[in-house]
Amino acid sequence: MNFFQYTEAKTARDAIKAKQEKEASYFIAGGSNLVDMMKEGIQHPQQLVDINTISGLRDIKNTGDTVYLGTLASNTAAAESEKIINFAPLVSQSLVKGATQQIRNMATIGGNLMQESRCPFFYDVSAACGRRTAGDVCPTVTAKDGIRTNALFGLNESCNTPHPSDMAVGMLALRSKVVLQSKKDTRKLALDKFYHIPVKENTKITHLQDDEMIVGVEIPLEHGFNHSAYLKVRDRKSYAFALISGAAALNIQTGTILNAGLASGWVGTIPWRFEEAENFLQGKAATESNFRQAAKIAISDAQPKKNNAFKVKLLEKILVRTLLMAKETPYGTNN
Amino acid sequence: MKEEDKPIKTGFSRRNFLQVSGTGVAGLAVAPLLGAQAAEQKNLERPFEVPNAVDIQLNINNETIKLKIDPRASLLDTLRYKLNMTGTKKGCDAGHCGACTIHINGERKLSCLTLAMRHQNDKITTIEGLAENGVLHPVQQAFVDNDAFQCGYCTSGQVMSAVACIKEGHTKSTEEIKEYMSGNICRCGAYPNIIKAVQAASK
Ligand SMILES: Cc1cc2nc3c(=O)[nH]c(=O)nc-3n(C[C@H](O)[C@H](O)[C@H](O)COP(=O)(O)OP(=O)(O)OC[C@H]3O[C@@H](n4cnc5c(N)ncnc54)[C@H](O)[C@@H]3O)c2cc1C
Ligand code: SF4
Ligand code: FES
Ligand code: FES
Repeated sequence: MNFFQYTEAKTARDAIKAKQEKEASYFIAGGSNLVDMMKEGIQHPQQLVDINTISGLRDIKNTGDTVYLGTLASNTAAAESEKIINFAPLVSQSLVKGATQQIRNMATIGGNLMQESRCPFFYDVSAACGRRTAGDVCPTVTAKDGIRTNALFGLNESCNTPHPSDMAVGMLALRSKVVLQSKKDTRKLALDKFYHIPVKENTKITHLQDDEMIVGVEIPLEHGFNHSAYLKVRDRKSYAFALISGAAALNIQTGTILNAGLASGWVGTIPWRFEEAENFLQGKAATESNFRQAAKIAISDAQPKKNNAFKVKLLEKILVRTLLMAKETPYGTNN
Repeated sequence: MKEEDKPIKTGFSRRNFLQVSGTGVAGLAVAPLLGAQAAEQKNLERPFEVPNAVDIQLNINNETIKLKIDPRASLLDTLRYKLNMTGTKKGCDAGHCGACTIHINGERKLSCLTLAMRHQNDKITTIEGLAENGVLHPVQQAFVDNDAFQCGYCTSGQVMSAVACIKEGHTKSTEEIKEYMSGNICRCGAYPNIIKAVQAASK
């Protein structure tokens, strides 16, 4: 690990200022991802700006129209908060399927959203990787048949690896917004506008600017979701990243879907939302046959290669099952 | 042990020592007029002073400890190699196994993914801090009573995790214990008895 300068920030503005003063500066929150990458020699910060020392960013609030999570709330605090469990249970449902209690105790909201790739070639510093070095063309892009872990959506020659977060998928289905602060002001970005698919020019997948910091996430309550479920399918039952996950939020009134949120983890280079399928479900009866049709719509533009082709069928089934689970899980019954 | 591997100063092998003084010799060759010889001699007195070392203070098991560390050091390495508190184990050193589980302000966390210098204002508890007046903590005792280990390598992490798991209240069913203890891998597969021990201690 290289040496780095270490700066403790007292306010978000201080943190941004310190970060801008030095090249290769990184915010550090829980450190559960960044310290790992520093040890692996994947990232080489010249400065760590500790944001854990900032007060007032841990709150979890219900403002009536939204549930708000401060960026420094731990993943455990968020998963176990009554406000989350009662008003946005999908966040809790997705969080508890991620990592382990030790890691969730360390992990923060912003750190979770910003967590890096889990691609084997990303971790192999001797391999080419466009997410470590902008412009590199990696083995998974050139492999004719792809590799098992490749994503199905949002692919390009820059990167093929799926985004690893569970929480982000739950938040995406709930149409959450990321609250970003810069030196001058704050802005909100819907989660699906916060992430962008990988590009050649740099290693980023978010629109977070150099002079910005995540201060929280806002979950709007206006969509009236009253049922939700998160289904994580993986190679072992616990403590593993997903093979594919599904997140569904439904506003069901007397059997009719007034509003649907549908997203998936580990299938897109960024957390993937199925907007067309959501639109299809709106106004339909909450029945299995409608769920099947929605899932068909969702998979219609998947881009599999030979080695991950099985995931298309799997995704379809997972989406149907997630929607069925959601229908059976009104708010207030699952946690 | 080969002659060259014999420690010549606490914790440092002769091989390392030779490497470091070798660097001094190279310096001497290119810059004989810059007092490199004096520098080398200083090196010999304290050959392994860490560059950029920082003075920190940690509160471990209710004791305040002042020490000088490499700013990059994990809490795990600081405990094991600086403080000789080897109860906390290093398995994967990458967050995957749970062997290094400790408590920070009462919450279980992984010391391998923790920079020691970020925790100067926190209360750290390790396996060495569980027993009181020579009496094992009830969870430690339950592990002994239930034969909840084989080789024992994962055990301190399991126990630290179990103490927190019980305090959190995640022991309502066998399923819940399994889920909330899943961050602690046991290579020997002592899981059934670990679960029994957690169940016994939670009553
Ligand atoms: C063994 C293991 C298993 C895991 N399994 C899962 C899993 O199953 N599912 C899952 O979803 N996750 C999993 N994770 C990942 C885990 O969720 C992340 O490591 C964690 O959420 C990162 O949060 P942190 O606060 O520790 O981030 P840090 O490590 O502190 O930071 C991560 C990144 O986010 C940036 N950052 C942090 N806060 C901010 C902010 N406020 N504004 C801007 N940038 C910021 C940092 O600069 C850094 O680049 C696993 C991790 C490990 C080690
Ligand atoms: S798929 Fe993405 S993360 Fe993996 S090696 Fe290629 S560029 Fe890197
Ligand atoms: S040594 Fe820390 S989790 Fe394995
Ligand atoms: S007892 Fe050997 S690893 Fe658990």
